Amino acid sequence: MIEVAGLSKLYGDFAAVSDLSFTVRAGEVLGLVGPNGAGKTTTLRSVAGIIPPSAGRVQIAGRELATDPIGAKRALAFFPDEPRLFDYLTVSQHLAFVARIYDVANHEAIAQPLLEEFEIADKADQLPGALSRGMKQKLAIACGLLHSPQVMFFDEPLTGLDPLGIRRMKASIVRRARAGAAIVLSSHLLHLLEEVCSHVLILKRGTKIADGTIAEVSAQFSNGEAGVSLEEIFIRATGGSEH
Amino acid sequence: MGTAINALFYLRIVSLKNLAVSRFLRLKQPKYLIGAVVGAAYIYFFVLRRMRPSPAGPAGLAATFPIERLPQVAALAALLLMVFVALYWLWPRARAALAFSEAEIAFLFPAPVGRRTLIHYRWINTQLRILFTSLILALVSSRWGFLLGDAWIRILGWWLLLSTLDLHAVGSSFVITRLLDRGVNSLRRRMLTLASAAVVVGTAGLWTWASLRAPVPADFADPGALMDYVASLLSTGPLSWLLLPAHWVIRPLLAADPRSLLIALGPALLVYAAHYVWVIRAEVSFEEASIAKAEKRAARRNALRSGTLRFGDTERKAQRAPFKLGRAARPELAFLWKNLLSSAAYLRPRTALIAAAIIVIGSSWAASAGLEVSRTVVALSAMASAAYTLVFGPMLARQDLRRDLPNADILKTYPLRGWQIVLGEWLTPVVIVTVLLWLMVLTAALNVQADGVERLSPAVRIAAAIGVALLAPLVCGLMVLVMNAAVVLFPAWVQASVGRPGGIDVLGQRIFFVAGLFFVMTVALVPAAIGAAVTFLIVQWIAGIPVAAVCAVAMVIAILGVEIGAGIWWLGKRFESFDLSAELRP
Repeated sequence: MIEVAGLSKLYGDFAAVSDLSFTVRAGEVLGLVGPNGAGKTTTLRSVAGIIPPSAGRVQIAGRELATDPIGAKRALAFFPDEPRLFDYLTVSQHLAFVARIYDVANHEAIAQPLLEEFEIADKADQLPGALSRGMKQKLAIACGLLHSPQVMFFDEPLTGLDPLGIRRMKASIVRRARAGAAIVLSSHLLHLLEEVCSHVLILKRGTKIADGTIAEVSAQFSNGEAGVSLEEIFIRATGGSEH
Repeated sequence: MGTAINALFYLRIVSLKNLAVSRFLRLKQPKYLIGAVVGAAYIYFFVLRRMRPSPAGPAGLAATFPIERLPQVAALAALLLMVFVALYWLWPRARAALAFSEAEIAFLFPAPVGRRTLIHYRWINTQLRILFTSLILALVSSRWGFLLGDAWIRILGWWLLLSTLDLHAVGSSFVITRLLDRGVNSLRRRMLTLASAAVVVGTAGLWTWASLRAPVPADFADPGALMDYVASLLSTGPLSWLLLPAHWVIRPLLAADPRSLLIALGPALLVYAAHYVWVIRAEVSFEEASIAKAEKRAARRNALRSGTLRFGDTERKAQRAPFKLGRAARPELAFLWKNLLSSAAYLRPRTALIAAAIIVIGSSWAASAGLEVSRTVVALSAMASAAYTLVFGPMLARQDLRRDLPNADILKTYPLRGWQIVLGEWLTPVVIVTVLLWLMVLTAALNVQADGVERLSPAVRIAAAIGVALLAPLVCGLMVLVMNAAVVLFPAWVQASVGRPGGIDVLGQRIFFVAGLFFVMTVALVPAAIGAAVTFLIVQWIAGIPVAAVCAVAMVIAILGVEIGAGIWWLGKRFESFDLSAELRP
């Protein structure tokens, strides 16, 4: 579903991401972790086609992002850490707009269950200014899910959600993975990754430090100890600092 | 592409409709309704009424502009346009960035929307803004005599001109980006542009030298003669060919009637279409620069809303402390220290001292060099600047409760009386504006030329300067206090008019506040004026004019001092019982 090979992103002389390769198959959830400034958001933006990579290949659902960006983007959804909405579109109009962009037929039938799932159905006629931060986040997620993407990129998806919202979000991610979606999830919340992810990729200074199932990565950094937490593995892998 | 463009039209149309509805609905709140009434009255009386043609016929330039000069105007306008276009190639340093909002980037960049569609979307957005600007410009230019067409011709002409310029800006930014990608840095590009311009101007100059007569004194006799000569240069030979595209773009705006407009439209649309093809076919990456631009714009908008926007570079840097804040310092000084730190780095005591030294040394040198005319100009400019600073300085220097109001809850947790917080916040703009005023007064006092005026002896001038210097912080302080009082007494009104989406109602609110400010200032200054006048009259009868002037100034200082002290104490009490969350509840 997601094939990334030799991805690099340069800003002048600075390499935000260097020679990164990974694969996420249908049904897998890859947790992207790393200290601040490790290149997680740059990686997500590059593989979602928001910014062009400096080098490397990205394939989304069998389509090359470089040569067939429209086809690849039709299959993906990107969820930024901060919900950015149009000031003068209501909740339902946001969904209508997205349905037109992605050419979703009969979108109301899909939108209504999504609004109910995220508990914003009663806000359908409200402008974003009348919504709380968490509700805006839920609306942004509902918009991303409207076209039933096969590939999803989440950048800190739980920011601003209340406890119930967090539980529903986690369940939603797992359910969609089980339904066959390939998901990449970037977060500093390691307990979330432990609960939701099947695989984990640790980045530091734009370079891959470890990649594999949680058990594989644990084995790599546990030094033979049993029951080492992902948090401890993360600290050992990254040296416990941003630099 | 059709689906995406449909979606983008949907976004624009629905957003506009919802914007109009929300603006209309907010008129239910008195603050917006009153603002709308005041704003509408202002626009009617000060804009629309003045735009109406006089029944007696065309007014202003229109009545006096000789029609036969139109070709010269067209030639000069084309030259101006070309100079403007040259700036597009010289000025930019950054890569091409199209103007998208953060929401547009979040929804459109990961969506199955092609590059060309994004450019089209940006084009649709820009057209709405350009159309609005064209309407405004058509109104503003309604009395320009050389624009002979009806309003709709002017609107169309402005729209074509601005749209073409906009496309040229995008196209040139794409080319600049491509040059950057190929290793041509800004300096080299500028050198290339200047060299090209030099070749063109040189060729034109050589041709003129060979083919046209050199200018004679008669060509400079009056503006008309000079215009004739310049126009003859621009209308013949290589310059006329070079300016032809600019001519074509400008001609619809200068069209006098529908027929001449139709004739002018063809070439103008050709230039427009060429620009369109140029932009749409350019294969240049604009995504990252557009994201950065959107983030910058959003940050500026947030800063404007929170009242922390600074002109110039928005990137904050750690600054050196304005002065040493000792543990024993009064807490009010801590506010001054904090607010000066959030001001521009040059607003420091050391800068003021350096400026004062430069003024003193420069003025002494000018006096010894006998530069009398220059000194008079400097003195008059300093006086005019001082008057301007006194009126507008307190409005612009907002490093007080106006900026700190969103932090009111934190300020109220400090173990301080309300008046201490108000005094601390009040200090910074007063100090900044006062120091600026003192520097201007110093400049004026050292350079004013009044040797021929007997009453303005050096002693009188020094006394007057000291008097103004003493009064300046008090008048400024009174204005700052009134504006801070407005923030505490009417926070919802003030917050509503700062950095929120504009409109006729917000315009009206601002007018309302400025009028209120001047009214309150007048009322506050009346007791001081009466006190000073009475003191002066009585004392000059007993002890003469110099002593009377000193006593009058002392009286003004005393009255204004009492007013400010009482005001700060009273405002402190109000601040202690102030609940921002309740005040700003919709």
